[in-house]
Amino acid sequence: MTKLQFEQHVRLTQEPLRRFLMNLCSGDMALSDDIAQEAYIKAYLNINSFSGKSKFSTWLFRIAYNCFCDNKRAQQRVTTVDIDNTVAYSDSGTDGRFRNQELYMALSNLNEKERSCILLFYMEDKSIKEISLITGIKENTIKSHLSRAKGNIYEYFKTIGYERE
Amino acid sequence: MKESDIDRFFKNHKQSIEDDGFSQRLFSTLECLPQPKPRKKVVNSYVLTAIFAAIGFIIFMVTGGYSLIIDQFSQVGTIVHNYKSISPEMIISVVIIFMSLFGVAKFALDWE
Repeated sequence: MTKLQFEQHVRLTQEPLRRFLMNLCSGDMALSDDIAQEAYIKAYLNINSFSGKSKFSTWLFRIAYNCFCDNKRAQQRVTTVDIDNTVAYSDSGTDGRFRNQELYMALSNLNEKERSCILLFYMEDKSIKEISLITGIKENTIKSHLSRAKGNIYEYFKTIGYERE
Repeated sequence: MKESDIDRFFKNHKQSIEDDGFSQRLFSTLECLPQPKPRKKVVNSYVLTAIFAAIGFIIFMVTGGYSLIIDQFSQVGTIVHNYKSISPEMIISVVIIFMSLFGVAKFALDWE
C-alpha cells in the first residue's frame, strides 16, 4: 500500500474510528483523537504487516482498540482523571449535548467489553466476526456480551421512559 | 420491540464527527516518520521454520526414526488384539507423530 492509498484510507475511516474512540472515552474528544492519531501512526509504520485477510478498517479498528486498552491501563497506573472536566461534545448546541449525555449515561451501565461490542455492533454496523477480529474476543462470547449489554440498556430505557415514536 | 428500541436509540445518537484538521495534522506527523518497516522478518521466520523442519526430518531419517515408526505400526495389529502389550514407547511415538503432523499442517496453512 502506497502512502497516497494510506491517506485515502485515513480520510475514509477517520470519522467512524474517532466516533468509536470518543464514545469509548465517554466523550473525551482530545483523548480519543490522541488515541486515533497513535493508532494511525502505528498502522502506517506497520502497513506491510497488513495481510489483506480482513478489511483495512477492521485492522485499523483493532489497532485503535489495542491503543485504547493500553492507554486505559496506563491511566489506571498513573492517576485518576476527573472525567467531568474533560468531557467534550462534538455536536454543538444544547440538544446535541443532551443526546450525547443520554448515550453516555446508557453506556455507563455497561462494562468496557460490553460497551465496545455494543458500539461496534449498533453504531458502527460491524458484524460479529469483525467485532471478534477487532477485540480479540470469541464470537460466542461477543454474543453473550451483546445480550447482556442489551438487557442493561433496556433496563436503562425503562428508567428514562425511552419509548419514542 | 426490545431489539428495535436499542437499534433506534443508537441510530438516533450516532454523532457526525467533522475532520477539523485531524487528517492534516496526521499527515504532517507522517511526513516526519521513517518509512514503514518491510515485511522481511515474517518471511525470515517462515524460512527459519522450514530450515529447522528439514534438519529435523534429516536427523529423524538418519537416526532410524522411519524404521522405528514402521516397527511400531506393524505392532498395531497385535495391540488391537492384546491391548496389554502397549508400551510407553508406543504411546509416546504415536503422540509425537500426531503432534508433528499437526505442526506440519498448521505451518502449511500459515504459509498459504
